[in-house]
Amino acid sequence: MEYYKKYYINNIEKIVGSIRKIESREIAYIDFDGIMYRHIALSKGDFGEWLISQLPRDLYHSSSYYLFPDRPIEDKVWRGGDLIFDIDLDHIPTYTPNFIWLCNKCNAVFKKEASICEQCNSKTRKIHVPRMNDLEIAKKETFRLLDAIYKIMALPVDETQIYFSGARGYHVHIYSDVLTTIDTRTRIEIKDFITLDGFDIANMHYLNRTYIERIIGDIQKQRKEIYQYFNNSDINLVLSLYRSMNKIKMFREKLQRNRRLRNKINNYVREIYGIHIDGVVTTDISRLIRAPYSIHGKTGLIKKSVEYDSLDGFMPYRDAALYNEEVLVKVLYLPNIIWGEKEYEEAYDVEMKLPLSLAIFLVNRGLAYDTRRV
Amino acid sequence: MTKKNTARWTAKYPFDPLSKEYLKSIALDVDEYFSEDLIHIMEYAYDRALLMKTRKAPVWKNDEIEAISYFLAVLIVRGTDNRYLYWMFADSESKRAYKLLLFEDNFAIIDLVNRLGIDIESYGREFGIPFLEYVKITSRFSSPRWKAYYYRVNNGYVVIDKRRLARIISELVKDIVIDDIERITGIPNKIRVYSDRLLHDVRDILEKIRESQEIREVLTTKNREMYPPCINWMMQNIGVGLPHAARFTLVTFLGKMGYNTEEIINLFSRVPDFNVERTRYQVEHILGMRGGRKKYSVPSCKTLRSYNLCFPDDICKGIKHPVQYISRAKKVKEYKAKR
Ligand SMILES: [Zn+2]
Repeated sequence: MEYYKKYYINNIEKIVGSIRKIESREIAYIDFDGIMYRHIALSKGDFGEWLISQLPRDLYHSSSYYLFPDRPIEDKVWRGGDLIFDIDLDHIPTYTPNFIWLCNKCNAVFKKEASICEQCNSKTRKIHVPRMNDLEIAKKETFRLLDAIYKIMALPVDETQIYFSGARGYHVHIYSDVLTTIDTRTRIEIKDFITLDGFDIANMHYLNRTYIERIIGDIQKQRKEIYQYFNNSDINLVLSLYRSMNKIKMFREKLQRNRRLRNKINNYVREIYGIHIDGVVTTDISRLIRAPYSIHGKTGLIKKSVEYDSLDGFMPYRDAALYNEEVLVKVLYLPNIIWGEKEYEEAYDVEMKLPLSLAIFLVNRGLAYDTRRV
Repeated sequence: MTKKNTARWTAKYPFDPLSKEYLKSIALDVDEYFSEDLIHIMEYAYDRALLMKTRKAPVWKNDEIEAISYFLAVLIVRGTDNRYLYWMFADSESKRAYKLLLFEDNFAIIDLVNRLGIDIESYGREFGIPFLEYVKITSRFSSPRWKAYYYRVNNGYVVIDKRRLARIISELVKDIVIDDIERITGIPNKIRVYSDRLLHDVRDILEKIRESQEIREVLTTKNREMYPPCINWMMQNIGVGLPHAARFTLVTFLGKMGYNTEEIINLFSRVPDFNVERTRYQVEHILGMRGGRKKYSVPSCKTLRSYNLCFPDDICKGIKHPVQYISRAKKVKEYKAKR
């Protein structure tokens, strides 16, 4: 596709410059027929020419460095790997996706569940429609993650890069040499510390620290989530346990006997205090990750780097979209969205000119189709 | 430190870089410890090496002998050329250090840890250890109570008490002792006599290790000829499409055999409706890398029978679990080979 070719010709330097130790990475890609190719090794010098000749729909590199990146996984010889954190909307429990129901026959749009069209009685299909502010939830989670990395764990982060993932979240890559050689077990410990996977309140060592006090604080502040997880008798029980226990051992013993309350507390701690990352990306050292500055095949958005100071004002549909030539498409439904430099109003069942990247974004979701092909 | 203090410190913590200088200054030529006057030091060092079995420390005679006995014990263990014994000796030295550290002065502990290359902070009666060092070391511990989220973590430091710090240092001691052993080259023949004696005295332990290792080896073969017929049937039919229970069984079984995620995903790439991401998700979930880290175990023969996935052969008679098949198959093969 010309659109990809033009973009990649103009951005080769940026891509090559963003993949450290490119010659030690496994490169992989998916072509426009959806076939995946793996175990490719390329030097810095050959990368550009290769990219233009292959023109991948999706481009990936291994998070790890290998002695022999082109060999099968068991013969690659691992030499280290970036520590990567992946924030994705789908892993955040407070996120609820937005859907519309579109009539198969008359193209009527319903914003509430309607399996049969109210106008012509035909069947409808359910389509996921992104809201303009959906990605703010992912951004908030990214800030929580960065806070944990910089302030709490204070990891050696002299070489860290934040990226918009190209789809529904953010990636944080740490390349620092002190961190790249840590083994999977250590990566699991870091991941667990962030997500609170496996946390059990009955294992706490101290009464006056961390999560027990945070829960008490949330109860006193009447944080709204408290009431989603606990009923009044739970809350009273937690408070009386806390007040009457001067020894952590007794607190633990009481909770060990009350499995129901213990599970409720554990769920609360994991979901409210845990940071919701896709943990496998952090722990699996044989993983592939989307290459920086490549185009996401499903959204047409760029996996773009974002500096910490500009993260707050970053708007993916505005800042990571390619604004390019306009094409005529048949739009079934267009949500209110800022794309590239322009804001588009909500639109229904209409032919209109849109930038190619937005057209692709809508077509891939079933919200529009190319009139030339019909 | 005064000379006397240095001797005492070295006697207690010979793995400390500081102690090593002192050891060098007092150590005689190895031959001299075989003289009539000093052979008791050799015997003392032997008892120290044998601590891995007896678990009873020899009675502390004097600081200098205590210190030098570490150096001699390391030579004896090195002379066995047996890595299990290196590890066991390191383990017994680590436990010895742990007990001594519990009674050590806080400032002395901080100095020691700093010399071991870890920047440690003092918070009154507690200590702050850098987060990354903490997770690197405690990731080896099996107890979940070491998880970092059970402790206060401030500005990159995990706050722990003295007992836990002592446990962490003792873990570092293991690495140092093994390094001390492996760095030595050229063992005098006189020392080897003691090494052989040690090998003889711990032969029962070595036998047990060999046995348990054999079991593990048999259980984790990638040789498909050793797999039970149900698993082989599933492998052969991946390309045609498998029922859910069969996919699940296959993933748990291959995971148990030591296949990694990528290898399993590659096997499934022959599935008609193959989707890398979905397959990865399922495999990772079953292998316990996702979600609550619950690792699913391989279903029993009884379960497989209930799903009509059992196609028994002669070796299957009397086994209750697909993984048991492998050690049986191995024995049958060996038996056939002998005839
Ligand atoms: Zn209709």
